[in-house]
Amino acid sequence: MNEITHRDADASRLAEEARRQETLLPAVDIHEENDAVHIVADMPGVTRESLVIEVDNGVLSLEGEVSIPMPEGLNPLYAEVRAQRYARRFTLSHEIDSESISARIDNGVVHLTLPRRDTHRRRRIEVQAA
Amino acid sequence: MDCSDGVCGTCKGHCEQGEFDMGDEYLEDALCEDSIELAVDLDEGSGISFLHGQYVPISTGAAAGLFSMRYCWAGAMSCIEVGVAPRCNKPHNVVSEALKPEQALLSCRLPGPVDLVLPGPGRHLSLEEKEVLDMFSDPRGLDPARRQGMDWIHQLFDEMFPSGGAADIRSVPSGSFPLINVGRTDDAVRVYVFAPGLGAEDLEVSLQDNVLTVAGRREPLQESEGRTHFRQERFHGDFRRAVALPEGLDIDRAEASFRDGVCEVVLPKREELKPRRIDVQAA
Repeated sequence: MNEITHRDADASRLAEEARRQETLLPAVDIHEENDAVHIVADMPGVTRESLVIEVDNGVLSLEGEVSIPMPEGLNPLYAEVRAQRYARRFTLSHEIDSESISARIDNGVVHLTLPRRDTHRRRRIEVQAA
Repeated sequence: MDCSDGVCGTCKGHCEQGEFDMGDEYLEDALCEDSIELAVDLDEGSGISFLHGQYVPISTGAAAGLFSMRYCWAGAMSCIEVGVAPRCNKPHNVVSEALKPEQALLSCRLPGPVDLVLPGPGRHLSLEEKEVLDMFSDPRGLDPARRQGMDWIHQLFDEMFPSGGAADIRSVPSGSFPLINVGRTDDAVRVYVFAPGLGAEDLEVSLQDNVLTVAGRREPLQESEGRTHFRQERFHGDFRRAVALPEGLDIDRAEASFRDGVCEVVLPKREELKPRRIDVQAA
């Protein structure tokens, strides 16, 4: 086996791994309001059980498996959604209180609320008359 | 460039019966040296090689085989290795992996009454399947090796370099809301509409003349003061999508159900059109 054959084998193995792990990027709306950052993500087909939200070292990961019951032997005729997983990650700044992040899922839409720490909340500064 | 430019040569095939016309637009490098001369001189059933993305069958009942198959660079064809070309002795398109026959989807444009016969472990593609695939002529959308997050690049390139081939009259830019999957089992065709945030009452599913139409409206979040928007990627507003379904479905027994933001529409096939096993009698 020469060098070229080895390289081809590696490339096809990488392609195979990439195919197995193919993921969808869920569309998100992010806005900040009332001392908290709100994320709304579209993840159709994901249930409460298959949704995984993790915060690790300042990185928020949002992952979910598409769990739609499909019959055996279903042949695809036309597929726009070709992956089984959604995954997206965000880095969080330290003013977000990772302990009190809350989430809910409703009809395939995930709502995340990331509150800011008390010490970092917006404060209005009183202006003294001279 | 796309399949109609005849540049990459992945879809080299040979004529098994009938006649084909290669046309003028292809790169000679796409065919190997021996088969270039043969391609120009098309003859009935003589094993001439040509490019599937280019040919137009000019007689009814024309049939073609494929030398080898894999996902070509445009994502338009998926193939299985079938062997060495009969005329020239060079192996064509030696592939590094073989796909299961069920994964072979042929989506380059194939006009005309042709049944594609795949020799060896391949699978016979019926005409109705080709019709459904041709209708959504977005070959890049069928390439599984690309992350779907790249849809925006595909849309950008589609706008900058529109492909010369004919797009289906109902096709939409990739990544449009809602996304639709269509699958088939032995007894029904199932359509999955990925519409998160919508319930059964927000989605209107109607069926007429084998065209399934999905329409509705997704409301944006309530507007309020003091809100800073960082990203807005989710679709808001009215939408309407239509897909053409294969023939032979029993519309009266169609059912739709909603679950976790995915609407599943089940359309059973008419009884007489389900696949039937034929018993082989000993002579």
